[in-house]
Order: sequence, then structure tokens, then C-alpha cells
Amino acid sequence: MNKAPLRLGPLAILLLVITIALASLSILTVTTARADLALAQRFAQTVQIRYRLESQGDRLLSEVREDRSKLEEYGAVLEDGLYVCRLNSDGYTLVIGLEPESLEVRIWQIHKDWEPDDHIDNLWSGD
Amino acid sequence: MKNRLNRLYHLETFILMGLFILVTLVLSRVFISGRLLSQKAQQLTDAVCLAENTAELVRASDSKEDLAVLLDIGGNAETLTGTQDGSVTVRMSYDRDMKPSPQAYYTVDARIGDSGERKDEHDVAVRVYDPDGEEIYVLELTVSWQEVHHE
Repeated sequence: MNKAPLRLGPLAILLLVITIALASLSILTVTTARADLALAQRFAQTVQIRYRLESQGDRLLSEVREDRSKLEEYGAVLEDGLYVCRLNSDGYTLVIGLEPESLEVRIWQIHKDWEPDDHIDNLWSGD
Repeated sequence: MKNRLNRLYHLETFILMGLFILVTLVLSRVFISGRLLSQKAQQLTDAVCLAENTAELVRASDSKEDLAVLLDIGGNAETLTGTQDGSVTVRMSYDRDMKPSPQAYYTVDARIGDSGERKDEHDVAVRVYDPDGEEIYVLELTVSWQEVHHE
């Protein structure tokens, strides 16, 4: 009776394919999880900054309503018929717009300061 | 000769399987670390949501008593008093799905203390803890309550 010879080549290839597939999946898993965590940390930090700014804004409002001269201390400027104050924290700005007479809030906006990255390396300046 | 070939065959199989098991073990560890990172991200996101919800309720309330009533949903909150600085802590418990529940998965502490700067101003720190009691997230804010009720 002739026995077919046992060869390890196909088995080795199969195990290699399985290993490569598992390695790719594991790298994808870790990369995705890290990205998730980084995003969650960024979100958490943004919420902290937002509440810090809102607290500062609340304090500004109550102080200004008690004593109108505090507007100057907070650097309020008259823009489009409103007193506008800007509070900054960690790259975020809270813009508060108040009616000059009643000091009612008309604008309450938080936005991230953004500057275009226009620096390009190795570009001839033309001089 | 046949015996030698047989031995080599077994040796090769052994090495191949050993390498495969080793690689599988390493990859399992990588999968587990990915799972842990993902779990951490999930817990942080949940904690931020719970802290934000609590902070909004703090801002919506007018006094400490009002806050304790607002925060208590189905008996998941208890008020802890008696600290030396006169601060009040409301402790709430939530389950894994962030629903109010007496059995805590997440514990949220809202500590309300007096701000040193103004009489009507209160510093509030909302802290979220995981099931092991480790702090996941802290959110600090200041609220102004015109009418202050002290215990």
C-alpha cells in the first residue's frame, strides 16, 4: 500500500496566512481603540474648558450687573450696538454680547481659536 | 533513514506549532490591550456624559435643597453633609447603561462648596468614579444662587 507523503508546506502556509490575518486584525483593533480613547480624552478636555469658560462668563455677568464699571475691567468693547467681552481659556474663546442699557445677553458663543497653518517648509520666498 | 526523516518531520511540526502558539499568545495580548483601551474610552465618554448631565442640573437648580431633589431619580441619590467647611455632597449611582439605579456601576459625587470670592457663588465639583472606586473624570464649575440655604 502506497502512503501519500506527509508534507508540512501547506500547513505552514495556512498557519502563516492565519497569523498574518490575526496580526493585521490586532493592529487594527489597537489603532481603533487608541483613536477612540484619544477622541474621548479630547472630548473630556473640551467639556472641562467649556464649563470653565461658562463659569467665568456667569461671574462676569453677575459682577457687571452689580457694577457697570466692571465692563471696562473685562475689556468690553462696543461692537454693532452691543458690549462685547471675550474670555479666553486653553485656545477657546467665549464671546458675550450685552445690551448697553439693560445688560441683557444677546450673544453667548464659545468657539475654538483657529489660525491657518500657512508655514510651508522648503518653499522659495522669492528673495 | 526512515526513522531520521520521521524524527525531522516531528521536530518541524513541533517547531511550527510552537511558533504558531507563541504568535497567537502575543496577538491575544494585543487584542486584550485593545479591548482594555476601548473599555477605558467607553468609560470616559460615559463619565463625561454623566458629569455634564449633573452639571446642567446644578446650573438649573436654585439652591442646595433644590439640587438634591433634582438629582434624585428613583432613590439613586443621597445627600452627605457634616463636613467642616460646610460643603454638601450629593452622591448618585448609575448602572452600566447610565440609568439611575441603587446598584452602582458609576458613582457620581457632586460636591457643593462656598466660593471664597462672592457670597452667592458656589464652587461645584462633579466627580465620576468607576466600579473600583477610581476617579474617571472631574468637572468643575461655579454657580450663583441668590438665596442660600445652609443646613
